[in-house]
Amino acid sequence: MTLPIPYDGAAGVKDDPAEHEAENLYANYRWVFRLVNEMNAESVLNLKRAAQLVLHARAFIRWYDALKARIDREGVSRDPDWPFDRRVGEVLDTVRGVFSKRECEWPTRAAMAQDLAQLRTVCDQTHAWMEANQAEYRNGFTVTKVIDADGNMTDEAITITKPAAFATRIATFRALFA
Amino acid sequence: MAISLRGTAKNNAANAGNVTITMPGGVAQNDVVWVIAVCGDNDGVPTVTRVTTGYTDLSTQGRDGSSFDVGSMVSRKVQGATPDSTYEFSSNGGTDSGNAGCLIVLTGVDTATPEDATTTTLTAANTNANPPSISTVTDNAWVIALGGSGANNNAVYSAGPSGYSNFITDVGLDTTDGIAGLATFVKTSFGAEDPGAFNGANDATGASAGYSVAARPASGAAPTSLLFVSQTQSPAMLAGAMVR
Repeated sequence: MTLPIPYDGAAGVKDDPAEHEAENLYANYRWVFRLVNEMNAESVLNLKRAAQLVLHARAFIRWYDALKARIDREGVSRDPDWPFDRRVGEVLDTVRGVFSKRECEWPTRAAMAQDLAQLRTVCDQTHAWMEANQAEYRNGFTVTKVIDADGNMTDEAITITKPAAFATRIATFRALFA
Repeated sequence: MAISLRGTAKNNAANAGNVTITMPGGVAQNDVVWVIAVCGDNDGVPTVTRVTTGYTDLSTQGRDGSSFDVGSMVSRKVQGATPDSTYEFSSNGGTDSGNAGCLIVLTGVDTATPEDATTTTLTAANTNANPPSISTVTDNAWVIALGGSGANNNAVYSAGPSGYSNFITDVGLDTTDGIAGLATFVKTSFGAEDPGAFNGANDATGASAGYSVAARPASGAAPTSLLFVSQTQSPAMLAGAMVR
């Protein structure tokens, strides 16, 4: 049996930018889930979390779109950031590997691609809705500064009554996850 | 209570773009985050500016190299009830500058006094950042070695200081690369600890900044170092002091 040659097993080879983008995609996927999960469970609307959700939903979209651009080039044209020809499915395999090592598994690559595309859509809808209807999230980062008993300056998030429309939306979002 | 690792994270940007580092997903209240932010430039020492609020800036270091320069900052924050999900910084490097940042999240740290000693620093006109010696005063403190470099060789740190764990590194690739890295060591018995240099980014035309931070474990006990009375004091002087 012959062992596969690692692409980065030679002097001067740069890391595949798709790996970096996949890691960022996962990082924002993780935070989108955590925030949706916590906000769904809370009885109030934590404005710091609301601001974080807008940020990470938009960041998920950014990294998704960057990877999608590379996927669309596979088998069609050379990736300008990568010296090697990419086979069709290579970037999705990279994404799948990043998610799999953190035990986020799909039965097939196609199922993963479909679910991530759906998540992109929901992230887009969510941040747009929040910017239009819960714009007070922008105050979430202008939080109350607290000097605690240990002398550390920390922040205390501003919370408001959770609007029914937001509660419904976040519950629907949470239900996307297993 | 022993210190343990919650997680590490890193990110980079070219063209002196803002770097946003996404926190490990498990970050929780009272976790302590230490972060190094780095910019590499070739127009003089660049300035790194923290965007995320609530951090204590422990030290800011920069150095001119013969061709490539570095600006950097190490900061720390005790996380509140709603932890941060990101850390962001900017720099005044130009479109030919690379930015990079690395952070570490520890749990079990003394939130009243997160640092067991004053942060020590060392800059050099070469790219292998060399965090200097630091003296802990509490058993089982964690020494965090942090490094930042400005270089032009498309390299990253290939390894942290010898014997150190949890090594991570990232690089913002540009005309001048900005390289960041960190690694940790458990100093089981308090005293002096000299991390040694990060390895791999060998560029004699670049510059580096090394930082040593000591994280104090949370406990109810006072620091375990002993206070020695000076040998030069006479018994009479000591007796007089005791009477007073």
